Amino acid sequence: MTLRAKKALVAVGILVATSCGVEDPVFPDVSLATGDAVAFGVWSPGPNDTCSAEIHDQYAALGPDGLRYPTWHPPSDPATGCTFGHEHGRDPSGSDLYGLVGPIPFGYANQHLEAGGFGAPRNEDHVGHKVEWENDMLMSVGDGGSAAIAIACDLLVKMHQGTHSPDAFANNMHEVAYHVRCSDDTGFSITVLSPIGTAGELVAGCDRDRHIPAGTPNPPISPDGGGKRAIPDAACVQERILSPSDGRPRFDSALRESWEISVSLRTAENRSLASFNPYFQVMDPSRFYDAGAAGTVGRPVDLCYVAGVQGEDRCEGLPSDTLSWDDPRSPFKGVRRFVDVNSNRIRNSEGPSVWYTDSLGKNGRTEPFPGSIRQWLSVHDNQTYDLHGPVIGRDRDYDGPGVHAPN
Amino acid sequence: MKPIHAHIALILALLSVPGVSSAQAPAGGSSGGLWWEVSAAAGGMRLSCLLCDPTRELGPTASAAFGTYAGPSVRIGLEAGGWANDDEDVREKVYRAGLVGQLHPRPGSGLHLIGGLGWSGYRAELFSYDALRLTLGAGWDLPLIGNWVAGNRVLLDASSFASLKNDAGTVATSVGLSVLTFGVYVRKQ
Repeated sequence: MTLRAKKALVAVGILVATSCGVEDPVFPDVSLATGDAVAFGVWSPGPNDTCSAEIHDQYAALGPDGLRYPTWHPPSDPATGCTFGHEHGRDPSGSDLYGLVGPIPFGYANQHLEAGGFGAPRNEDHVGHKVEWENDMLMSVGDGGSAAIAIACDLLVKMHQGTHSPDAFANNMHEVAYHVRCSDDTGFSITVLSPIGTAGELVAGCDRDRHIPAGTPNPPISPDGGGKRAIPDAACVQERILSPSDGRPRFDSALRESWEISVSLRTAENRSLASFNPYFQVMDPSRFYDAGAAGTVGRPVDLCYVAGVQGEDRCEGLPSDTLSWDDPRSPFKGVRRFVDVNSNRIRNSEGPSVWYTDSLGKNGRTEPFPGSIRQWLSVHDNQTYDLHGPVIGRDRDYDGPGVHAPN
Repeated sequence: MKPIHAHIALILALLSVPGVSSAQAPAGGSSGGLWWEVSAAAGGMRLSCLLCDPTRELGPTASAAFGTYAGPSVRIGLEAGGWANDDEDVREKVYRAGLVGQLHPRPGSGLHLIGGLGWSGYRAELFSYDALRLTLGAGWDLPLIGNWVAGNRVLLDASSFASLKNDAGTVATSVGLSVLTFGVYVRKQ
């Protein structure tokens, strides 16, 4: 059976599944906000940006807590044509789940971290929030199941993945909002602050066995998590750009970042309710780890002016005068991204569909508690089959008018 | 499905078109005598359940049967066979075994009705399905030489109310399996 035919058949199933969902679309008016979240209003224009902070802050969402949060906006404001200099990925309004989810509040899990019992704050920058989605994804079922079973899912995900600063070198806590609905009744909407890999260290992007201490994480009490943050370092740059064995520099191979998260929503008794482990990949970060550089940050665009690299590969067509790392003409601004969806597991056959957890996705209870986040899960159990998603977004990049690092 | 399997299945289906034969053949047996036959066919397999891929997958089948005559127009026996298809990287297989009966409603006519009862098993790597099977069909005998007969037939294997499982447990319940085949056979009777 062709991929297209399978998609057409299971899309009907998703339509039925989502239309029978227990959630009604509710997009409350942001003017009803009782205050601003910490994440709101933190962006201000740089010298290359033509939009004002006021225009930027018009793009806001009302969080479930009644606070005003920043949310997705295009790289340029359609009303004025001004540019923000950064982008947040794919417009979520095209997702089949947008009617259920609405505008995604950026920084919601960060906002409630301390109130939920964690001993320190963790706030992230604005530009790192990236949205990706796919409708009617044909899933695969492991161990031969794909031959017999046809399941499709709609996915809408927001990951905070800043690839322009040293933040992720040592800091492993990053916010993810993950919404999935599938034709087999697998479904969940989970927002957490996910510890990715070991706090205070990164894994070399070109050699996953090489763990590199990168300093004290922020916050210092960041717990270790599953997965890893594979980030390029100076050795990767040396091996694949500056001194490649065949003389041909390969930027994509050297610079590719892969944030391989492993999120598990758990009850207070530590029973897993749902889990997912997508890999968020960026081909063109504007940084790499360099212990010998100022702030431990190396800039890929600087490599384009090294003899033997100039004009090669991603440096082709760049002006001969040195570009700064945040120049809009730099090809290294973190706009080429894709997601390996991977596993989507749910074990909630007993229900209920609404759980409340802390910002880390733990301590799940059926009643809200201070600092808790409302999580939605379908009443379903798919543990007998390994529901895997495809790679999405590989054929897209999110460059736009005025976009530049930091992005 | 790999193209080679599609081609084999198509050829077998064309060979089995009833219109290619018009001659009649006698049932040819006598009570207590033995018969055996082999057949090849094109088969369309489909699993039916909430999660199942609803497409009928095409693949070749083969089967063999032997038995005796319960009367001049009634053959009974045992049969076994299988169906296969490559769905991308996964080989799907359906095995079948059980009792078969063939009845010539008009003595001397090649037309015969087929009924069967047995087991069908679906396998695709770690996924499996086992169920009681009913078979219904019809065939048309063409005399060859001596006690040899060839012919074409259409069969429907149907199973239901079983579970699709893997090593982790039950994946789907109330799963149906059907295999519709068009094929040819040779019988020594």
